[in-house]
Amino acid sequence: MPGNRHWLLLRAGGVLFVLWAAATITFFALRLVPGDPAEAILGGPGSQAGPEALAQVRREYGLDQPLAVQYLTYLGRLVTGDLGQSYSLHKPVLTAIGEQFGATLTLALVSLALAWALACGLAAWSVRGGRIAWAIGSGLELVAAAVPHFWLATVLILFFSLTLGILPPVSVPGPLGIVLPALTLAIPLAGFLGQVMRESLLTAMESPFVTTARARGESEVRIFWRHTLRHAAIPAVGLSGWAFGSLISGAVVVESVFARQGLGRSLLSAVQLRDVTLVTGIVLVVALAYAVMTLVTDLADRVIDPRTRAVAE
Amino acid sequence: MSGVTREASEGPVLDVRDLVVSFGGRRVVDGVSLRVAAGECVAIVGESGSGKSVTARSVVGLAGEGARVSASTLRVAGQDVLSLSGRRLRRLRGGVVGLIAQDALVSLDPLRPVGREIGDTLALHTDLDAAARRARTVALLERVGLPDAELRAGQRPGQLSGGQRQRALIASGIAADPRLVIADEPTTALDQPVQAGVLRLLGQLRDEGTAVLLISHDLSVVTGIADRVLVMTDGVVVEEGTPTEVFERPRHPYTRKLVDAVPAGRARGALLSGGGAAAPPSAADVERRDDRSLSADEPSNPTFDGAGGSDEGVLVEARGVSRVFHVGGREIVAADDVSFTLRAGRTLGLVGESGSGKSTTARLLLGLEHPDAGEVTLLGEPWNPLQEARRRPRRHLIGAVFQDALSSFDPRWTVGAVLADAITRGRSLRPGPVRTQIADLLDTVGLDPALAARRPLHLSGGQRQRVSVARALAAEPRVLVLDEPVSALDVSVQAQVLDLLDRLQRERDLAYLLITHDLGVALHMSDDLAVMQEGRIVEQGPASTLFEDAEHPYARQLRDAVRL
Repeated sequence: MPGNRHWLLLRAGGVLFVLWAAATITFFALRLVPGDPAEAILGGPGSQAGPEALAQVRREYGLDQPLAVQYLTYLGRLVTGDLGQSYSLHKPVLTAIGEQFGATLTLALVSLALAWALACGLAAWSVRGGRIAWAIGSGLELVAAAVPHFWLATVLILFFSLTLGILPPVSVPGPLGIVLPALTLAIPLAGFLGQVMRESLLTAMESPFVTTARARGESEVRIFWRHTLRHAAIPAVGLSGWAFGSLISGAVVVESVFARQGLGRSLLSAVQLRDVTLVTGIVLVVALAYAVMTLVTDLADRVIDPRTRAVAE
Repeated sequence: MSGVTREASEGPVLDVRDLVVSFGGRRVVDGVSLRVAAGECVAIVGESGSGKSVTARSVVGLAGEGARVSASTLRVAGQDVLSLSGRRLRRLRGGVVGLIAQDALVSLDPLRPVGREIGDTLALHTDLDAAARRARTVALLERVGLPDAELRAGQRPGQLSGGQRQRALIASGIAADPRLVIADEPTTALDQPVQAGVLRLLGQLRDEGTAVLLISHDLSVVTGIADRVLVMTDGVVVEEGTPTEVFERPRHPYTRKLVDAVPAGRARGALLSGGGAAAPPSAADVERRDDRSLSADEPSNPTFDGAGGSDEGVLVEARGVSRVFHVGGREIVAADDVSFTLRAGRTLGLVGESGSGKSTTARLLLGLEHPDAGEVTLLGEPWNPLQEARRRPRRHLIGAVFQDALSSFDPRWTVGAVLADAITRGRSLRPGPVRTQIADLLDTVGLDPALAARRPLHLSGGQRQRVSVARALAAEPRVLVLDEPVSALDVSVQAQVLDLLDRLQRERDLAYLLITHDLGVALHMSDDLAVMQEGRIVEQGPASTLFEDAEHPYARQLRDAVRL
């Protein structure tokens, strides 16, 4: 389809624009933070570095140049894929991120899948179960959407690790280690998704085409899988792009609580250590992931709802 | 199973006796009995809320959530529907009974190709494999009269025209060769020629031996096809008989009211509501009407430009107006060299299928759209194109009434606020006189002035449309644009609104531009008619003679559709 290629090119251009904007905003925002970056590179204000050492660092990192020159050099490096050196880790930012990115991506994707499963199940049950199930469903969703990650993490650890003793309280390698962190991220998200899904599921179930399907002799189960779920999924899929972004920011908390490796924890320590290049690098990678995920959900939306294609063409 | 069918083939396919359906203690259907034999078409006619749809849906156990259904007999092809369990009920639905709902745009899943919906029926009720189902789907689409069936099978309802998707919906209903087809308002929202095609298709099914139960609010729809007609109101069948018996010699007062309300074939100015023949029009009215038909017969020129040769009473003149829309690189000519004249006290009816440019023409007249060529004059002065600021002082001279009254009101405003807004037009007037004027307006359109305190949501469809007429009158216009003003209303309510519009025209010497897809309404209301197709006016002339000497094929097609 020619419309598809055109659409994809346009959207890819959009992704590049978002990345440029993210790079620019981070660059200037970090310059606004008080403190001397050269000092930070040498180990923070407590390190008592001599003026010669500071001058040398400034020269080395181009900090003595005018801001505009610094900005352009920085953009030029980004284009070639050079994210610079991390001061705190003493290795290229790209390498440092590469080591952490996989863990966070896995966590985010598992959480997203888990959230979808929980939301679908709860929504389907509460829509079909009458008034009481509806009240319970919407109540659970509201509570789930409202609980903060750090509190939920603590409760889950207390229950599953200390009381039941079936899951490790800190993240260990292997599939068991990801269960609690993923649940912590998934439950609030499932609350949001469920609320959206339940409304659209109800609308879909009351649509005339469902009557047509029933009159054709379809069973309720088949109607759910073939018709209503697809309609209900449309708004929730759109929401998932945003949700993915929130999962990565949620990872900052969850990875710290469960002592789990990942970008979130790296970001936290990079900010604490004022490791400007690392922070910038992580922000860019997260922005890229976010933009790509939005593109993926839009693509999924076009598959689920072919009408959106017709409009775009 | 085969024993059951053989036994059934002797009796009626559908046998309903003393059907009662209630929702939460409220009886919606109260003791309905009906039988449909193989090769017979029975129609249930009634207005919204009469219980006709619930009756039809009870036959397949789909009366709705919370419905309590009971009957002394409810048998389809010999099977007792009320005692069927889930699985056997599902074999009945689609397999023995095909249900065709109204408005295929929403009655078919908008996300799936129509061929898949037909294939689903086949998968449920036949042993065909996937390839055979595909072939059968295409064959079915061809059978219901869809050209390019192979291509259409892969398209979604939104990509088909109204008539095409209604045919696809019928194909999904009859895919498994059901013995009974229930068609619930199968032609609502379709243009007349398309409507005629769908009805012919149902007639064909009946002739092939299928039992057809047709549900409709529109008497004219069922006359051509039904063998027997049941008239329902308030959950009760009040009259039953052949179409001729019911429509020509109605016994029950409700049937009489319904029959009188049908505008098709009723003389211009004849009262449609309230009493029918019991309320003869006054002598003055008759005289006036005669004047009209005389003057309407005068011009022999079918293009009707400058009819009567004089400018007398000309309020609006459109000359060679064109409007082209650019959509995704394509040009859509919505109005192409459109010319017409609106005169005081006369109605120009604008008919044509959806997408023919009727609404664009109305918007050009209202000054909501800028013409690419040509011009519209109002009272002899330029009107469109013209700067909006210069148009504004005369805006109040043209009013408009639209199809969906509810969505044309701000739901948070009371009726009084809606009217006050239209009366003051942004000027600051003293509240006392405005209140009096609101009461007068409501009185004029036949509403209780106490309704001023209500919100549009709490009014009935007919009341809402009366309020929109009142709003259109508030600014004391000379010209009214009526865009499908009665399409969303039941026949008897439609009759009242049409009568109201007719009375107001006579009292206030208003010029009407009436846009409608319903030829019956157009013929009843109009002095002159214009037929639009693809943005052009293809025929124009006096309503009384236009169709008799119609030359354009589309106008002939329309004419034949009305005669059905």
